[in-house]
Amino acid sequence: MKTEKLKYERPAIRKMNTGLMNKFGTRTEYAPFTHIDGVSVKELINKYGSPCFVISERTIRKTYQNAVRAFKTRYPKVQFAWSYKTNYIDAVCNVFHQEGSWAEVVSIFEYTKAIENGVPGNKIIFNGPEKTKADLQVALENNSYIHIDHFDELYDLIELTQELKKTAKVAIRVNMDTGVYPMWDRFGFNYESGQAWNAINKIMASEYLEMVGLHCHIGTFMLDPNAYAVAASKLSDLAVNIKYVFNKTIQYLDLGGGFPSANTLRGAYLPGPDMIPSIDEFAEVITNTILNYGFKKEDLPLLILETGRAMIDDAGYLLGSVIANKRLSDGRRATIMDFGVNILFTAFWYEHKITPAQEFSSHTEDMVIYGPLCMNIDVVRSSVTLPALNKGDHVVVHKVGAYNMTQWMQFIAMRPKVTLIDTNGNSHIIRENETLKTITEPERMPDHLKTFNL
Amino acid sequence: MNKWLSIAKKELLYSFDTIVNSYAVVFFSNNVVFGLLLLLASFVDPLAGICGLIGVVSANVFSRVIGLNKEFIRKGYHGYDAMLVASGIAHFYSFNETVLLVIVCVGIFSTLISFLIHGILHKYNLPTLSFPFLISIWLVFSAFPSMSTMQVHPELIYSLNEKQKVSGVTISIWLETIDKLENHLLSFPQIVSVYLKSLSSLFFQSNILSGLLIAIGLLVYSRIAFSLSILGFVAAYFFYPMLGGDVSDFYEKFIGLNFIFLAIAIGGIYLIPNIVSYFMTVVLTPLLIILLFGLNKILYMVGLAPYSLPFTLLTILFLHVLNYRVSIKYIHRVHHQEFSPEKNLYNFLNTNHRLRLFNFFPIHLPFWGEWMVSQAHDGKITHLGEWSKAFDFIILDNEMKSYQNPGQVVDDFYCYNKPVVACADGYVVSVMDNIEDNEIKGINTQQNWGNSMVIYHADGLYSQVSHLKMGSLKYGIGEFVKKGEIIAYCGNSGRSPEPHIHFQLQESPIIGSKTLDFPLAYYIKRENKKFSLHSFSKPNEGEFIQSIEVNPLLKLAFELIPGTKLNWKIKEENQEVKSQQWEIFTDSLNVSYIYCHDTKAVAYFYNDGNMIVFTSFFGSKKSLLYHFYLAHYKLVLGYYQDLIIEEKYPIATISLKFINIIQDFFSPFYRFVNANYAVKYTFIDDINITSEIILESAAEIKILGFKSKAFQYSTNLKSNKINEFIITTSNNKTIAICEN
Repeated sequence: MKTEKLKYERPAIRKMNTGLMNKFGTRTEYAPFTHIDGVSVKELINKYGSPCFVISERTIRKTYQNAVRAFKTRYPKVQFAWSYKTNYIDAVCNVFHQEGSWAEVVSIFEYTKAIENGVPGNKIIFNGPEKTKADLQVALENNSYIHIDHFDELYDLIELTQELKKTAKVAIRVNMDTGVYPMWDRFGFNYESGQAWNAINKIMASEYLEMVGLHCHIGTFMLDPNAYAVAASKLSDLAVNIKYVFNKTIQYLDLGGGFPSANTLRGAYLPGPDMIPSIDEFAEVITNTILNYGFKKEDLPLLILETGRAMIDDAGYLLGSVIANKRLSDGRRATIMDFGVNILFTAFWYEHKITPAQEFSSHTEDMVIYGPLCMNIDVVRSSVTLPALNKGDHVVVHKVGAYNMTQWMQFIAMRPKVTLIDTNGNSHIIRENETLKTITEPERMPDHLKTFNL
Repeated sequence: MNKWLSIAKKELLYSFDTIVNSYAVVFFSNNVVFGLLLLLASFVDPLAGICGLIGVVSANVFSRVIGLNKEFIRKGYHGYDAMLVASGIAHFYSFNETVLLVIVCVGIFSTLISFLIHGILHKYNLPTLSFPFLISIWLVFSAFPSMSTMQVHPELIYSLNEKQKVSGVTISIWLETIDKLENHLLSFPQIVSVYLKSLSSLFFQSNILSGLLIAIGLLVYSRIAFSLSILGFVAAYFFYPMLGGDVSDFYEKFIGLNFIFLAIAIGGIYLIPNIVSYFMTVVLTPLLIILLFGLNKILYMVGLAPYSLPFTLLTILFLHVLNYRVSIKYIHRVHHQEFSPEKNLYNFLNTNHRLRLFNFFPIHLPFWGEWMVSQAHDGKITHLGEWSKAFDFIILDNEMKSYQNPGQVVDDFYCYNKPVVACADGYVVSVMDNIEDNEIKGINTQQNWGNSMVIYHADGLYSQVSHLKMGSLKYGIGEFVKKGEIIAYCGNSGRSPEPHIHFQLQESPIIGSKTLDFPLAYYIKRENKKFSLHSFSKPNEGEFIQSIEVNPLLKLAFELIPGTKLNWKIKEENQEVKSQQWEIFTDSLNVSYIYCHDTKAVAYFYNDGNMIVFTSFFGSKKSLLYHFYLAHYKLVLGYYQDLIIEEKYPIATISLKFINIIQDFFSPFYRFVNANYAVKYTFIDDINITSEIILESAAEIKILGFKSKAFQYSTNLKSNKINEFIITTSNNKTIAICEN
């Protein structure tokens, strides 16, 4: 057996903590995290540099299949649509499409991306408040599902379909009071005020619009499954009324997304995994509500879910290294990492779990983790208990798959590589790191600014 | 005027049918050509022929007047006895007005007696056969042994002069011609002439010519019946002298037909023709001879002859015994009589392999989505003894685990708290809903079945689901549940170490009754990514199965309800566009069929909401409907990517002309012509919201394993209907578009 030199850890002074006696002393909350799907973190950093995002294909597939099973064993017709905005790196999208997911997009940019990925037009759901007439025309020609957000969009679409004499498959987005605060009423048509029913009447009266579905998205990081019961029952109510008044069977109810991942929200009393309901609990209330609403068995609508965060967050890791250690004026320890809020945007609202990627002793210290930016806001964790880390040590940030790779900023530093570990344990680059050229290429220099003398 | 004309025409056709069928049905047939040939054969002796015809007409007119079923009269059920009796009278008595009167009266009598005998025998699922004829003719012979008004024919041996004397000069030319022909035919070997004479004894003749006509008719009607007639005859020809008889009795005493009728009845009409039925024919022949000798002696005492009594008696005795069998292996009774051994055989093969749906009450899986059979019938763990015919189902993930997390609480199990649905319509008859769910690995052996529900589906058919979640039962005793409705949720109560559904069919409403070995109507099995359809079979342990999830487009496209019209535009290569209209009808037995107004073709089908199955086709084999029938022979109404359904067509529906005829001879033993059907579910735009589906099917005919003919079909479904149907042969392509 190879003996390794014991790791040097700097001495630290710690305040005495009272608590129950145990023979292990104080411990960190985590064990070292050295491998992702069997691939060593050290190797990954050597190969792809630091920082670097790593996505586990196995975790995506497992999470997806688990969610599908949770719904499909409770309800006969279920379809998931991959929410592009959560992570629209093509390789990630294609994992979902391979698993059978449709695409849910909220801009013509995402729409085009989905089309280029090879998603058939009739398996794209076009959401979002901004759809120009040109965008609508593209969606119309591809036979995509258009989820109308407001009356102006509805009028545009009526006009367009009449010009082209082509039928559009539409749904409306409905907002409603589900008992959660804040109420998301800026998207779609309101249910309680009758606005949604008004929109439905207009759609049913227009020659070239076919009302195929109803959509809602009641919020994000929802911690109360019962809110979905309310949403499902209000959508079902509209669907049943449409059947009753217009004798039109609504083909699908789209409950949107908003299921939480196991991340801990800032300021939350309990850590995420202890607090969030499982996908089964959401599935239970949603399917029960619809099944017991009184649809005829053959009229039971397809249930669409646009879950993003809960599907991908767990599969994403951010690998990084320590740049420096510092002591702050109040005596607290500060560790500066080579990643900051520029690429870990979710650090603004999550207390991300961070674990060292190498062995450490049982001695820990409370510390602040800063990013590399020359900006005061660049705080990754304002207070975390970690073992003493040396310059060059590696850390792994967990559950970063959602939103980071779409909301990240090219600010001060450039964005790193994104890699994927496939189900056989091979790693692949799925997005190259940015270079100076990536950033300067779109820039244009007026002639008079081309030269200067200093 | 036209109206009267059409009524007259209709009546004339009807009368024609009643007469011709009354002849054909003697040989269990409804073949027109055979009927006409028999009619012609009876006219070899013109007077007897006329008498027979009068008998038929009188019985049929009587039946019609008193209002018996018109269809039965058309099929000749009421005419044939009268015809036979009349022929007999014509043979034995000199013709005069009295004889004519007796023929008419006895014609009516035979109808009367046939109903009584039918009434008695039908209860035992037995045919009437010749009893009415025998009783009628015995009646006549007993009534008029020798009376002044009814002279026994002075010369019972056939003689030209005698006949001429009786019938006058007008038909002498006819008789002369026949006599000449007969002389030519005398050169046949003895066995052939005895065979033909035996056949002619049907009309109380011993005439080679009429025998020849009957033989030809028999061959036209059925190859199997023809070969059986020879088999039966040859066996008798061999055994009869062995038992001390003389084969001349076959035609002199009119008993030769017994052997032929027995062979046809046992070998191919009342039993499905196969090697065993042929064997039975040979085995029963010596017995028939002994019976014949015995009956002859007994009846001789009262001055009567047995005629067809031995065959009638033996056939009925044998069929009656078959009704008491407990194991059916090689001998199969015909349940739906098609009046042709070939049709009976092909139907049987078709039904046995394909149309099992008509034999079983449809029972479906009691859950939604895909589950795994963790214990099947005769499972080694708990499905033992009287409770061996049960299933256990669980849900597994891709790693073949039944739970997530550590699996220490019931909620970790995928199947826990998942809907359990009714496997078929029925009334709830027993429930148990208050047994606590066990902890994992805990077993409650006190309340073995746990929370359970028993549903009554039909007399002697109950289904039971067990180990349900406490308090989850949605229905109480006496309530009606519909197939596919949620009745409870999967739990872990009773003798259940981890959550699962226990499902069994049983004979009584008591929870935990003895199980019934009963198949499941339909299920889809998945192996990796390959789906296969299973109908009326039982899944095995370790299989991943699900119910058919009906696709709305497939359902609507094939929802061919009576009154639906399909208008086709047919474009064949290098030909003008033709249009055709089809319409859906149902017959009196509530069987639906597609009728083509232009080609008059008919295709029967059956649609039970899960499958559409075409059962038979009649009409031109060049018609579009014929190809439609071949292309959609068996379809499941759910869409499973790349699912392939294979089936064999009944050989009779494939036109190969003379090869079919050769095949008919061998069909009870070996079928060298095979017609194979295969359909593949090729394309769907979306499984949940479907607007387009493409099915590709093929009909392939193989002779001795070599491909002889093949059709490729492609059916496109769109806008909730059949949109396009393409037929491709090796040299032609036809595109039919449905415009509805």
